[in-house]
Amino acid sequence: MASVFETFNVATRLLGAFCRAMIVLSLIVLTGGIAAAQTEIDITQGNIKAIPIAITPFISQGPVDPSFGDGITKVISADLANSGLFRPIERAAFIEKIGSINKAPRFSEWRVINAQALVVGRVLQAGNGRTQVEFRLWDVFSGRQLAGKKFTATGDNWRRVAHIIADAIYERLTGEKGYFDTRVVFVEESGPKDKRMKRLAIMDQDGFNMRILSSGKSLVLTPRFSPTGQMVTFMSYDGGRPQVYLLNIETGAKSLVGNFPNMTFAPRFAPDGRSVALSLQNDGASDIHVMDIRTQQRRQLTFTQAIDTAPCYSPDGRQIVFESDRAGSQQLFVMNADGSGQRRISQGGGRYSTPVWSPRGDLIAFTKQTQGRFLIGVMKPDGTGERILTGGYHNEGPTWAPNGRVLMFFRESPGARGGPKLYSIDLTGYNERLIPTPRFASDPAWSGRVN
Amino acid sequence: MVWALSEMSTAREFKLNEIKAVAVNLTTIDEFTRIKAGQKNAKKPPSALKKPLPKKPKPKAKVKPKPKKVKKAAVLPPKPKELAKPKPKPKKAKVKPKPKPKKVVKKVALKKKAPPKKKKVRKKPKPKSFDPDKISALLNKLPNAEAQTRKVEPRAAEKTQPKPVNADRGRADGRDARMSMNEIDAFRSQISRCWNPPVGGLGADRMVVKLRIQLRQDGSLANPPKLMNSQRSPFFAAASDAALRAVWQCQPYEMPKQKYAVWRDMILNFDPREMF
Repeated sequence: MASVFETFNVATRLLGAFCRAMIVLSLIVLTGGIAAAQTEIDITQGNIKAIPIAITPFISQGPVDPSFGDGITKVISADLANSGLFRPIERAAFIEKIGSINKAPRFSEWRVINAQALVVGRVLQAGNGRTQVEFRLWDVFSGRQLAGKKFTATGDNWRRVAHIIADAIYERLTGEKGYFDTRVVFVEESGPKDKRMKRLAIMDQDGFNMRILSSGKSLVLTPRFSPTGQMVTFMSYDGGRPQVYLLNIETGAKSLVGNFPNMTFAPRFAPDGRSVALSLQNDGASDIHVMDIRTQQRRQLTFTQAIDTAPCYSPDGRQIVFESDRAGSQQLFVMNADGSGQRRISQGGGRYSTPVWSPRGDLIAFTKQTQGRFLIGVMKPDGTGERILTGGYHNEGPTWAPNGRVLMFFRESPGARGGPKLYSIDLTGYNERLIPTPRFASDPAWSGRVN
Repeated sequence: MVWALSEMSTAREFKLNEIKAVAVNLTTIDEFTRIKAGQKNAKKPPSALKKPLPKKPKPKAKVKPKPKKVKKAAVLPPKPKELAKPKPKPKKAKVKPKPKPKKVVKKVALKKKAPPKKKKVRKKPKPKSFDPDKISALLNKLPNAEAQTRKVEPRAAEKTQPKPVNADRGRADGRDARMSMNEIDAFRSQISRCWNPPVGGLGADRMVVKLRIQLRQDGSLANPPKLMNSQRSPFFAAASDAALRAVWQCQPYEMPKQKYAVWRDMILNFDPREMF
């Protein structure tokens, strides 16, 4: 209620004195009327389900390959369906055939098939080999246009354009940033279990456009994106002993992070992209260090005889969550970015590992080992509100979509022929899905939003 | 001895508490409606009626049988005393018969704790019962389902009552000035079916959308629903669209025809807090 009046105040401040007087007057009249008769009812229970959405085939105009528009339509549908928040309606059910995107659709015909939102679009030639893609998003009940945009695409990046349109639709209908125009780095695994080849790979969030980034001669682990999405840091056995490396995805240039005497592992970029936090082995224990990439200066943040590892920054860069067995079993700890104020946050039974701070800052995802199972869960940064999102035989290594709404992780399947595969799950605990990869895949890391 | 006395007194206190806890609610919906309509045969509205009226009629029905159980419980306790008393009698000669009753009482006290009845009685007054229709917005898939506590603020339940003024005593023309709980619940469930709020966003549980709707006699929308609050965030845009869609989608509403004056123009607060 207070917020209503606040916004009202803001509105009035923007208007002139005359308008203000008029509004106050009409408000008095209005509230007078309401006090006499108006019933006020609170609706507190809803019915959470996917929004039925009609995505019509994008119209091709002029000398455009019609498969282009068709492909875009399919990618948008797949993206929205994969989010679990939308249910694209079968094309066969459509009554109206959209002839032009500049004419209002016949909404009654879309209501009949229970569509709540309607997407129309077209593809046309924009000159010098480029293609223009346009779309409009309509609210079927009120007949309002909710969104509409134009993009230009070249022949080979049409999937990206489709992801961007899907993001715009998702954003308008859920209020959250989309995550479809993103990529994932992971460890691509092939070969028998005892002689597994592990290579660095990158792909689009939906499993398409996979590219292998390392030769496979030596093992790679824990790849992580830089905030810009151009660099990846990971651990590799390239030089004989495990060390943390940096790789520029565009150029393929690879370099060692620091020159440490011992094994380094579990790297992760700071949000400003200038430094990397990692673990440095020290006898049987390990401590957390931060390494400035440009100056190569390093700083030690933890000093224990325990295994402190898996550091991950909060999105504002002020804090670091990490795992440590200093209290006996593996637990999650939070400290300030300079190493001060170390405190344990995980409180439940079991062992906690691989903490990852949500990009929106409100939660920390983790792997939890309890009763012989590996679970993926989330908790608030103060350790309260723990919630398990998925269980099963062996789940590990959560990573957040850049909107902090969806998590990806890998799940190992048992048996001699078993292996890891990537899955995604909504923060609500609903909509668990397999991410298709040609072979086995583990250790995913989601990129930020690509700009 | 002292211990025996204290034992007895605690047992008695317990009894009293029980009775207190149970005397909850005695007005039926029917009565309540009659009171509001200003009918002669209606009882005077009890002063406590205004707020503690349970949110839904269902829990009420469950509450009713309670008094019986309580009576049983209240009747039972005397028994042990009857048992206890006769025993000392034969042993008149003995000077101190008290130690024995103590034992008996102690047993009774222990026994009393055992039957599940009492626990039931205590729990029942909470109107929040398990409702399979309510889908939880956030899942917690703990294998042993330990410690899943869900707080439901009592405030929300209170709030769900309609808020017309001076409605309790009815109106001069003898017509009901507001809808009964049943009627409100029926309307609510019609809208809830269609309300699909965005739930995953940061602060989604605090995103309240206020709409004004005007209905025709047949329960259909007379005008497009009007948004009565606003916030500058994409998330509010999504939340308000979801509320608007719900109102559009589920019309026409089945409403009590004779109370058109009450529901022709309403404010709806879409508040997803309880779903989390």
